[in-house]
Amino acid sequence: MPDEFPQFQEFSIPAVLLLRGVVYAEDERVWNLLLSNASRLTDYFARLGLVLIVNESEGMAFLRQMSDEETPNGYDAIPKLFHTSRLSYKQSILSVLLRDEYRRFEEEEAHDEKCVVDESALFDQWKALRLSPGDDVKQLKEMRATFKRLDDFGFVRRFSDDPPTWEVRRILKARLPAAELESLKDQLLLKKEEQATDRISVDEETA
Amino acid sequence: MQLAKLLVYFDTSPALSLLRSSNAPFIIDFLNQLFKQSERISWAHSELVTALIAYQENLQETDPGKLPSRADAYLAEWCSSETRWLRRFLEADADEPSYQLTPHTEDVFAFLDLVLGKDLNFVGTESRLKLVIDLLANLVVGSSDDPETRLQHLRNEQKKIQDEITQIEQDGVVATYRPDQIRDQFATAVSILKQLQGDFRAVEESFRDITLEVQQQQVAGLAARGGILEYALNAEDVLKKDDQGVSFYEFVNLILSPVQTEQLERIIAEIRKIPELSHQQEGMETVRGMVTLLQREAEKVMRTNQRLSTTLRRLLDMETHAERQRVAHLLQEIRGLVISLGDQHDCNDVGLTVEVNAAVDSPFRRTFWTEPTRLEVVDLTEFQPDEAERTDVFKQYAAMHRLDWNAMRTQIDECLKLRSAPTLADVLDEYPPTSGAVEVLGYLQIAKDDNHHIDETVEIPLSIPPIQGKGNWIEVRVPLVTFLNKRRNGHA
Repeated sequence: MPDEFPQFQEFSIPAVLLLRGVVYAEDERVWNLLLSNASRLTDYFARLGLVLIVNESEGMAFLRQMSDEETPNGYDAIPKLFHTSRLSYKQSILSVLLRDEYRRFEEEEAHDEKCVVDESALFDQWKALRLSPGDDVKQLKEMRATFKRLDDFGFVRRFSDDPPTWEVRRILKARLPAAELESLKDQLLLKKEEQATDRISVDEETA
Repeated sequence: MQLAKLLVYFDTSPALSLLRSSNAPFIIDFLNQLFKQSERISWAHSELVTALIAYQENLQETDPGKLPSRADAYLAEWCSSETRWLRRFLEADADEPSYQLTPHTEDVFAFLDLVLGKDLNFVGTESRLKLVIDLLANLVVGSSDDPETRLQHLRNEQKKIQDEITQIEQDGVVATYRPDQIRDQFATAVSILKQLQGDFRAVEESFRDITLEVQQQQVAGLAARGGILEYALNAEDVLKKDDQGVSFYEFVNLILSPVQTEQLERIIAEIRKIPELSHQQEGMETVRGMVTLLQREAEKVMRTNQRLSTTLRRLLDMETHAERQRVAHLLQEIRGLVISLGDQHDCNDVGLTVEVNAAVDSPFRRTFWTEPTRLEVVDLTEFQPDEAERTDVFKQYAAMHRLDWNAMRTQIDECLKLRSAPTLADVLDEYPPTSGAVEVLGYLQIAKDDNHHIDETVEIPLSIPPIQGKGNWIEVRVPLVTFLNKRRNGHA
């Protein structure tokens, strides 16, 4: 234990909150501290191998792991602090549906400041995609469980219970860039080809 | 006014449908109390529901059977696309929807203000005419760039002022307004002010319409991007350029300028001293809070505008436009692929990879399981009340607030002079408690000590006012206490 702690620095507040997740402009005090200390924070997190993304027009800031290409010359490899997580198939598809809702919200909505979707509307889409087997009750249960997982990732947040609605959070947009969606599309294309070859081989066997 | 327009208006206007609705007076009264009298621009859902329930409860006493449905059902109805009396919206920093008045409801208020005249009691015709003449004269002078016209105007003004100075110097008499003129001008000012307050809703709405229009053009690709960009080099310009925008921003400059507001506050302070206006309570109220209210309203509209202009800027940004289109396309393709997979979703190896929060969360942050606290059950069947102990505790409790036992006994005696057997409730009616619940306990103590009648089988509810006006009213249930004349009690 050092005899004396360093003096308190305001930038510690956004720093800790950034390590815990996204900082939104709605949290005015933290947001302002973050903006006024942006360069120090960038500097500080770079030492940890992290990149600070401040998107002022979206009103949010978050950290991401520095990629190998971004690592400056002379930097040794730093252990990773952020882990990447793989969403399950259903979680991925629900994220896609929600991403689409958010896109529409951005393009068409002038009244609300938040993107809030009805669970029932989402459920119709969920059913249309035939993602889970069983009757409506079972399917709804499964969709809700999937929502819960996305909630853990911070992508959505329960907005109201009656009627059941979910807020799609802005971070979803940042975490699902076009490149990632592209990769998902490729995986699905591959899957479809597999299905087709399987079918052909099955047909040949029966023939 | 054309018939065709009237037909459409009568058919579609939310303002008229509000006026025609069977519960109109109650709805308007409720909205007026909440939004206008309390000078609040918006209310959160839970607050508004609570207020409406309270309003309905009161209504059950005065007008039973009116507004009988559930409060939240009414709110949903009032902001539905058919009625549009309230606007429901989601604020970024709120966890529930908020409500504000729509321009249509503001129209209703403006109309009713006009016809009911409020407590101003007359329509100021003289001052309105003067206002019109001044405005028109001003317009003639202000719109002309002919130096001769301007000079002529200034000379006239100069002569008028000079004449007045000379006249006062000669006679020493200052011509003041007649009382009716004072009230007339005040009435005009207040009615304009009220209209002004209602206008904010319309301004906000019109900014929203502009945004919506650009959005739609953008999304539908109706206008060439170059065209839109030309129209909106800077998104803020779109909102600022139209007539309403120009006028609104000038208004904002005015109301947010410290010099102007200070001057306005000074004028208002003077106005409030004018004896002729001492009865114009509602008008005074409106004028008193006008600076703060107008500033708040202006800030609200500005905030909306900033948000809208961000939306527009994003929409008009070339780079993000391309990205947005790509994402929209990808999302569509993914949906299509998922559908084409049909029921065969053996896709466990398919999924998005996302970076999630830092792994700094320690598993030890979670608390260990602890046994829930158990309540100890005390068996009271054998319990013997200890009278001495109880009195002791009671005295300690009563001592927390100084009670003037003598005064309380005198008060009981005073009540006994008025009626033969006053109850505790009667005494408290006559002499409302000032020390809160403790005082009621004190009366119970006196009743017991002085052998008044206490009937424990009857429970009486009492409402005790807060101590020194702070805190809440307290509801207690006490045994029925009847104070008896001491002679009859065998004390005398």
